[in-house]
Amino acid sequence: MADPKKPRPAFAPWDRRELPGAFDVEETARRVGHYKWVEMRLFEALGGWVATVPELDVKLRLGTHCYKHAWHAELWNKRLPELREMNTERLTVPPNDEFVAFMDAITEPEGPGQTLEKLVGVYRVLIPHKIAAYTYHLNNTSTITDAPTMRSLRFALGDEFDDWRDGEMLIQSLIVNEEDVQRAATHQARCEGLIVKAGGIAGPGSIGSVDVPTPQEVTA
Amino acid sequence: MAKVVVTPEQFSFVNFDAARVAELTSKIADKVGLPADAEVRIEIDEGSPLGRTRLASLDPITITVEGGAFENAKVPRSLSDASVIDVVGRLLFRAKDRLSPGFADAPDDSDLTLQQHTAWDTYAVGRCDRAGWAPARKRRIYHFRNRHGFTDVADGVFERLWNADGLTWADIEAACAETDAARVPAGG
Amino acid sequence: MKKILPPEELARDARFVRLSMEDRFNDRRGAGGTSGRTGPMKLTPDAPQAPDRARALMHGIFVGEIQALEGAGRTCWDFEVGPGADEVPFALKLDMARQCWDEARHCEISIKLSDWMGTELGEFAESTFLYEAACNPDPILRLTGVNRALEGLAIDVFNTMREFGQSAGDPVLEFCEDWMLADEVTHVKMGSDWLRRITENDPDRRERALEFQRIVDKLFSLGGFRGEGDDSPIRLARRFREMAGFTTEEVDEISDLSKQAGEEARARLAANA
Repeated sequence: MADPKKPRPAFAPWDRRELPGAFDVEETARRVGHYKWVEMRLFEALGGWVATVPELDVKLRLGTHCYKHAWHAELWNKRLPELREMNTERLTVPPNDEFVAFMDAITEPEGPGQTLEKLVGVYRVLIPHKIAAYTYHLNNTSTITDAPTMRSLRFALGDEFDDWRDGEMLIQSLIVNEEDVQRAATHQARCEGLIVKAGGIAGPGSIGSVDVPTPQEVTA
Repeated sequence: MAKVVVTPEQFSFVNFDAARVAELTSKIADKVGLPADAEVRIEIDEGSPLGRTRLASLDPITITVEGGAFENAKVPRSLSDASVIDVVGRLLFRAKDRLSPGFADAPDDSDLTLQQHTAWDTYAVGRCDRAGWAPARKRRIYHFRNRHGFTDVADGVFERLWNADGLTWADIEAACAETDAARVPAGG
Repeated sequence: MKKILPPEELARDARFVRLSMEDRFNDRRGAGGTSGRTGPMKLTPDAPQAPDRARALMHGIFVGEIQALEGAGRTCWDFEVGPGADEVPFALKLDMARQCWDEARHCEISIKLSDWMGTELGEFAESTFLYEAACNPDPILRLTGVNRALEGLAIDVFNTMREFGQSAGDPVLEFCEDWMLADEVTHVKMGSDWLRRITENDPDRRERALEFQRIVDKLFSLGGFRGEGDDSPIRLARRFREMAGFTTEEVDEISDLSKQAGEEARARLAANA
C-alpha cells in the first residue's frame, strides 16, 4: 500500500492547467457585466414575444429558452461580487451605444406575422455571437484563478448550443419559399451589420483579435 | 325515408335550425337502416347547456337531448353538424339494435350500468365510423377506458366492439364481464 | 416591442376560437335548464358524462396554461428592474422567467394529455380571463391576481383532477396532474412571498393587492363551482394552499367568497326561471 505521507505533486501529471490568463479581475468583471446585460435583455425579449407568436411550438420553446437565459443572467449576477464588484448594477451595462442599437433591432419585430424575424435575430445573429464570445473567454482566461467563470461559461455554452439548434430548426421549418429566404437574409444582414459595429457582446475584443503583427523590416 | 320531427321548431335560447337537425337525422336514419316508415322524434331541451342524451322510446323512436349535446363548443349556442351526427348516429344504431331480436333481453336504458352503456355505445359508434361519420375514436376509447379500466384487456375488448357487426345483447354482457374480470382496483 | 400587450392581441393559430367574457356570462341558459336539475355536479368517475367533462376541463386548463405562460413572459418584458412602484426586483424577474419554463412544460403536458383523452387542440372556445388578470400595470397587483388568485384556483383544479384520475384509475391523468400541482404550489408561493416582501413597508399597496385578489377569487369561484363541500365540483385544496403561503384566514376567506358566489348564482338562476 502507498505511504500516505509520501509527498505527491499538487498538480497530478495529467493536470496541465497553468496560471496565466488573458484577463485580470477587472477585465473579467467588465465582460461578465456585459454578459449579464445581454442575457437580461434576451430573456426579457423572449418572454415578451411568447404572447405575440401564433405558432404553438415556437411559443412553447421561447418560454423554455427565456428561463435558460434568465438563469445565465443569475449566474453572472452571482459572479460579479466575487470579482470585487459589490454593486452589480454598475457593471450591468451594454458595452457601447452601438450594442444598444443592435438589441433594439433584435427586439423590434413585434407582430404575429414576424416570427421569422424574431427568431433570425436571436438564433442566427445574437446567439452565435454569444457562443463566440463565451468560447473566446473560456479558452483564454486563467484555468486556475478564473475557474468559477469557466464553470459558468460551460453551463451557459451548453444551453446556448442547444438553443441555437432549437432556434435554427424552427427557422428552417418556417422558411418555405424564396420570399421567406429573403426576409430572413435581410433581417440577418441588418442585425449582423449592427453587431459588427458594436464589436460583439462585450464590445471590441469580444473574440480577441486575428491581426497578425506586420514583421518589421530589418535595416542595417 | 324515415319521418323526422324536431322540437321545438323555433329556438329562443340558442341559434339552432330545426330543419337542419331534421335533414341530418333523416340521412342518418336511412344509412342506419331504419324502416322507411319509422318515425323519429328529436326533442331538444334548449334551456340547458349540458350534454345528456337519451333514447327515450322506440315507438316512435324518440331521442331527447340537452342543448349542449348539439352545440358547437367553439361557437356557443350555435349548432354543430358533427355533434348532431355523432349523437343521432349513435342513438339510432342503438334504436335499431333494440328493434332486433338479438337485443330483446336488453334492459331499459335507465337500468343499464355505465359499463353496459359505454360498451353498447362503442359498438354503435364503430358502425358510425364505417358509415363515414368520423366519430372521434380516441375520445371513444378514453370513455371506454374510464368505464372499463385502463388495461390491455379493456383496449382489446374496445377494438372488438368497435369493429363488430351483428352482435347481440349477450355479446355486450360478455364484453363487460371480460373487462370487469381484468379490472385493477383504482388506486391499487 | 411595446409594454403591456392587450388580451385581444394574444397570438393564436387558426385552431383557436376566442370567447368573450360577455358571451360566457350572458348565456341565458341555466346550468340545469328546464329539467329541474340545478347547480354544477362533482366530477367523479361514475358521474354522467364524466369523461367528456374531464376532457372539457382539461382543455380549459390547457388554454389557461398558454395564458399563464404568456402572462409570465410579459411580466419579464413589461417591467424594468428597480425599486419604483412600476418596477420590480431582479429576483422577481428571474422567478417569472422560471414560471415561463414551468408553464411551457404544463402546456406540453396538457397537449400530451389532450391526445390521451381524445381532445383536439382548440376543440373548445378559449376565454382569456387569466391573461386579462395578468394585464395589470401594477406588477404587485398582477402577481397577486395571477399567482395567488388564478394559480391558487389551478391548485384546486389540479388537485381535483388528480383525485379524479386516481379514482378513475387513469394513471396518465393522475401522473400529469400530480407533477403540475407541484409546480403550481411553487408559483403561488412566489406570489405570496413577493407580495409580502415588496409591500412590507406599504400596507396600502398590500391591501389594494389583496382586494384585487379577492375580486379575482370571487369572479373565478365560477358561480359556486369551487368550495369545500364534498359535493363541490372543484374542491378548495386547503393543504396545498397553506404549503404555498396562504394563511388559514386567507383560505377561510376564499371559502366564504366561493359560498357567496354560489348563493348569488343560485339567486340569478331562480330569478331567470
